[in-house]
Amino acid sequence: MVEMKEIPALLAEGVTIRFGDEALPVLSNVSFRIEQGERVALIGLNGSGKSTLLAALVGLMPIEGGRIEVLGTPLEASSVEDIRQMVGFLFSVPDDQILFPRVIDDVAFTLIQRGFSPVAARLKAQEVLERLGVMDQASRPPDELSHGQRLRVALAGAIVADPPLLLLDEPSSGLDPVGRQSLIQTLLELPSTMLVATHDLGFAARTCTRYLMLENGAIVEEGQDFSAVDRRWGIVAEARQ
Amino acid sequence: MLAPVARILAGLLLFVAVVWSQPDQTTDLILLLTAVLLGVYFSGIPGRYIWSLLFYGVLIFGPIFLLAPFIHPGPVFSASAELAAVSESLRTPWVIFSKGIAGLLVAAATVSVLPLSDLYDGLARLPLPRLVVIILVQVVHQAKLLFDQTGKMAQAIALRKGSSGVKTGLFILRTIPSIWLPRMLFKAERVAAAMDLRGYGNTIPRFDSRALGLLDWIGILVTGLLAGFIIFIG
Repeated sequence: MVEMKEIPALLAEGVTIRFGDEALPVLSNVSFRIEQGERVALIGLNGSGKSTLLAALVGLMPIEGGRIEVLGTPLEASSVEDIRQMVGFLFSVPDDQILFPRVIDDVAFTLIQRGFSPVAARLKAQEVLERLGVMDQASRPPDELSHGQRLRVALAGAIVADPPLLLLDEPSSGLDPVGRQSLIQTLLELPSTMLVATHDLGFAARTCTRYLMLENGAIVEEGQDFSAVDRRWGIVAEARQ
Repeated sequence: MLAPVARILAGLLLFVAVVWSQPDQTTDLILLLTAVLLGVYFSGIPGRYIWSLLFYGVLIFGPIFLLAPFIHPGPVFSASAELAAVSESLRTPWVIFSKGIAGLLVAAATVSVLPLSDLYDGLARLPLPRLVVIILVQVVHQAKLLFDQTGKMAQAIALRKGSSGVKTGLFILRTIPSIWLPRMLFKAERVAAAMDLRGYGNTIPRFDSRALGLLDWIGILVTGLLAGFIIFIG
């Protein structure tokens, strides 16, 4: 019998993505495996393909080649809805994923989608908003919030259903030092497996235990010593000058 | 103030009453005024809003009277017939003007002081097609965010151009197809992806489960009777 723990939380094998008829693929032959409970940083400079890869992992981006498995379920047209139920996703622009005109309703919506009653959903949503320090904004319209507050509301919507897998796209961007520190603390307390796309090395090193490094659409390095990334980027910066 | 769903229903009924009325007849004119007063009362719209609405209403619908001299009821042979002819030529502009202003007041009273979250709560409780509700609410919700972004974009353009005033305003308008539109299209794509991922549109969750109160029922009943009466006598 295969134990649950042996099934990887995320498996990508030879994933290739191309936009339209462009000659060069955006992602080329990307393979990795993330075990359950791991927190992995997907590190790369702007335009390296991080957001595209995250979108592909939940079926938002069609893949040209390769295969993806989420908690043992192969990503196919027939399984995409089941997979999305298992994933909490944070977009790089939080505005894009806040769909309801009241903060608490937006967070509760995730739970109602999973069969919770509106009352139970609101109670749980309140708990998560409290934990993320935005409970005082619960009744406000999202367009009246600051970027950092919107980000926390979007994150609340992503984590409220306790998904086994979290995919976070640039979660620390635009946060003040206190907000960043509090986000790190929150993420460390979550039991979910995480893949965090970021170019914020300090954030990645404090949140994750290892990294995958994307460069021009390919994974060029992986490891646990985040200072190696810093050195590599130093060389890239020098070469550009 | 009425509950969101009661306000939307009452507003709709009053709007039907306004559209159906023939304000060139005294009874209908009185009923039309009643509809407007009820709309204003039930919505709790502040007085300063009403004056602004009246001002813009006159600005929009007032020019219709300029057409009156071109409306000829037929040849005129006496002074009394001439008076009747003037009255007749003013009839159509008056109907359009009074219905226009009344419709504007009723519609604005229904939605202008209704927060978007209340609009959602109200629509979610009405037996409307799911698609209508999700599209309507999302259009208004995203429009608010777009408005905010458009303002920032306009500021950035003005700043980078290093100018201000009418010329910059016209320049910003000229850049809409090349700068604003592509950005909005990309945003629409990203929002659509988020909707898809979060399962938005599969259901319409009802967050507000409060029962309607006595005043809500009175509001719906009175406006319903008024609309019914106007349709009946029309």
